[in-house]
Amino acid sequence: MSSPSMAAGREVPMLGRTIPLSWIMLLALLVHGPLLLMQLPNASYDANFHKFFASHYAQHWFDPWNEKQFTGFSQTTYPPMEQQWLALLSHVLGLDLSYMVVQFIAILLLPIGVFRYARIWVDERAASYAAIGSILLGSLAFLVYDAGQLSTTWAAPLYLLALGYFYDWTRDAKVSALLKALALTWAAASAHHVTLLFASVFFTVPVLITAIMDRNAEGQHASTPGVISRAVVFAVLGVAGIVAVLFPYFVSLYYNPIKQMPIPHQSRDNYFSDAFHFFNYLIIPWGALLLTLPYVFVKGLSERRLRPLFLGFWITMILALGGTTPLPRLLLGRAFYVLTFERFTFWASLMALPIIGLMAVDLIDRFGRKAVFVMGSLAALTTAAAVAWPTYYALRQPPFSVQSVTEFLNRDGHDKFRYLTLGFGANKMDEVSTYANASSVDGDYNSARLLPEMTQYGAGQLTNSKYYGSNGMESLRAMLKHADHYGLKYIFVHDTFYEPLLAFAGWRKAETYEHGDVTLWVKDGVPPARPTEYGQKPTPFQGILWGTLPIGSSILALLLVIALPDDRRRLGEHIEFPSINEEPVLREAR
Amino acid sequence: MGRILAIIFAIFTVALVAAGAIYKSSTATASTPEAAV
Repeated sequence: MSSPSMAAGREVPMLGRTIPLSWIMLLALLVHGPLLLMQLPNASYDANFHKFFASHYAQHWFDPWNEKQFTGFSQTTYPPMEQQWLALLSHVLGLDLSYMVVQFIAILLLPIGVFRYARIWVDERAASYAAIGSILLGSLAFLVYDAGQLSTTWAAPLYLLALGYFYDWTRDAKVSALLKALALTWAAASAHHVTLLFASVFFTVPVLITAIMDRNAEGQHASTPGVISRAVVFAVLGVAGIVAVLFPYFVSLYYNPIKQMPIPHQSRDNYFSDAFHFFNYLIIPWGALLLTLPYVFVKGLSERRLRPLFLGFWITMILALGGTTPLPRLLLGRAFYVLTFERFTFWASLMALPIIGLMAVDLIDRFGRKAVFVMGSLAALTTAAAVAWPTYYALRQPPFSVQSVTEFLNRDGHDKFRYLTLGFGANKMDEVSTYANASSVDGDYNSARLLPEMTQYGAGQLTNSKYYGSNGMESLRAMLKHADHYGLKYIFVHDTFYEPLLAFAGWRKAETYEHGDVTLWVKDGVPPARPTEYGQKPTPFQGILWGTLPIGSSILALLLVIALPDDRRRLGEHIEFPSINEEPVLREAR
Repeated sequence: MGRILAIIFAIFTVALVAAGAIYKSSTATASTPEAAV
């Protein structure tokens, strides 16, 4: 994607210009570069989950069966693309720094994707403001620095880029646009399956409707059946490619559909039910975007071309409210209890950005530097609040070292037995799993678990049992009861709450680490661990597919985007709104 | 027209939020740090 150029021989006020994409990416580097170099995302909730998966790919690229959690599970239950890139880079940079690099690439891709996506509806200048906004979204900072949702932040820009080419294909029938749209869609699917599922509806349908509305704009003479038939061609090829690229995932889902008891999640609650929900899911991720909602509503519904985009945004925004309204529960049925809804805020924000770009143009044209200062300050505050949020709320536990735990498990044949951590939190549990050779009965990725002691109780990870109330404690009790069956001999405790239960169940305290912070409990007479009957090992063929096609789709997308340059005429094309009467500031802007 | 539609959508959104206040979740709320995201 090249930056827009200025009209020769024409003086344009600085504030009236399109911001070049190269400057926007530089801004992304300025904002997120230092934060990533400080490795802030390492403390996010899911960072170690991704690193744990990546560490397995680094050592067993073509064998997605991982015995380190749930007594053994298949990593084909989660799309692997960004974790495989992380695995490749880890050989050079190590896991922690590789995570930052992979996350940074996703952040750099986002403004490019938003620019391309926004251009479907607005001119280059508004699209460039939308791209700037994407860097400073509270929901992006929330996902990167608090939630650690690497996959969501990777998949979204790839889909946005794909949608730009999808729009071009449906209107112009250009095969190069179709190829790029397909490759980017496959790559996005390889990055995140949930984004795939929802993007295909909430993001794509408004683009398709807009393509139908624009079929005769700007000298095009496409027919409605033509646009729809090209969309069908894209859908058929897209789905076929996704099935091929993620084939082992679908096999795994077929044999082990998600039937476990729903696990509670705060994003499914009413956000007005308490102050934490209110701030964590509304104020922090939306930030200053909340102030733009009146404009988004009025503008999005006033302009006929913006209405499909607005409706997509509105539905996604309602879903982002989780259990605050009854609509997500009614629309999604059982899926409501499997999904988490913080990522919908990110998607809704992305869909609002083209309209907010128009707002920025209006305000800057009217108020000049004052508008730039106010909008810039509010956006900066939004990012700052989201990055700093984990510092100010007390739910995250203080960091502690798990080195003694991994050293114990890796010496003297202790890995013949299985282990469990209690009070570690999922992030620390994943860190132990990454560096220890032993197998745990517990695990982090809920959709991969098959042990009945976990699936039948409606609680999350065993390490967090107490937080799930009686369900969590019953689940833990069931696991302790079957310790001999699973070869569960060692339990590492970082919360004295669990000690009476362990003592009652036959474990004895054996060692103490980290100045008493972590204790090791051992049960005598437990037989060594044996493979369990749960889960289905992927076949060697599936392992080869999994090790080649997902990452291959991202390489293919990259090659196609480089090899088939964008049509500058189309990129510069400006489909005008009735309300915009200003002189064009760019040669390409008409 | 746009303003009227915007007002209708805004009222609908507020009505949905109000309706959500009546409904009680059937699953218990987790208070684990991991449940925050």
